[in-house]
Amino acid sequence: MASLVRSIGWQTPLQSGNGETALVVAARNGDREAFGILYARYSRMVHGIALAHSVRRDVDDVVQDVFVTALDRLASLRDPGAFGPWLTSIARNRALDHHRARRETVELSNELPAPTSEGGSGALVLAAIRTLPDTYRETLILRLVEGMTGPEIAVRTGLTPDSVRVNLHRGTKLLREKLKGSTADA
Amino acid sequence: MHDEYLWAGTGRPDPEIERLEDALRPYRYRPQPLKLAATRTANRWLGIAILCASCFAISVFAWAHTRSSADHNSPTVEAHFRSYDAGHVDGSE
Repeated sequence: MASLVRSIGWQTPLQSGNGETALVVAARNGDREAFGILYARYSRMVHGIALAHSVRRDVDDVVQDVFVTALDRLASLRDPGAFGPWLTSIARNRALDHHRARRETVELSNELPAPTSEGGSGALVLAAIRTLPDTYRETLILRLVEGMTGPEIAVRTGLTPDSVRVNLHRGTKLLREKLKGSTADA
Repeated sequence: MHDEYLWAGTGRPDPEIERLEDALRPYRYRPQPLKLAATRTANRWLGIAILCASCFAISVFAWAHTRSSADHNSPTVEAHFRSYDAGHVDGSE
């Protein structure tokens, strides 16, 4: 594994292509170290997607859940080069599952106190981002919350750089309008 | 809005984007260890333990069953004595 790590230079923050494919193949063959590298590389993206669809206190659980699911299903990934988009899809589905489960729990247990709201000005911005369409929401969170760059978002999620660029521009424009509207309402 | 800053985080910073980034920073990912190995190892050991217990139970059952069948087929101590007595009675005396 050490030679594999050396040959692909996994410490490079933005890594894709053959090096990543080798990592995915190694992880699929039971190499935990390789899977650990993938986790280090993708956990920020998964966190961002989870944050786009789940309440904050569930996000860490969703991240763990996504990687456990990914490890279990890694054998079913036909194209190791498509690990990023595949993981993105798992993250989105698991986050939505958690969100649905939480909603059902709250509906069933009316006597429980209402969930506490997330405070601060960041909460207002995050709430506004969450009202945007999915594609803008995820891209904006990955850029503004997780601090990923446009090219990095494209490589990790499998979106084209053009799509990411459009999502960032349109999303930011919509967000600005929403925030202006909410300030005017207040 | 400065495109380069929004796209790559480089170039002249856009004050509005910077404000949004600052407000959202508390929500940013903080690296955490993956709690995968412990859970999966624990599950694996639990599986092995259940398998061992099942094998042991089957072995004990099979042994008990074999022993019980053997006991039914072999003559009892009482039968031995009876046959001895019969032989003794039927003997020269």
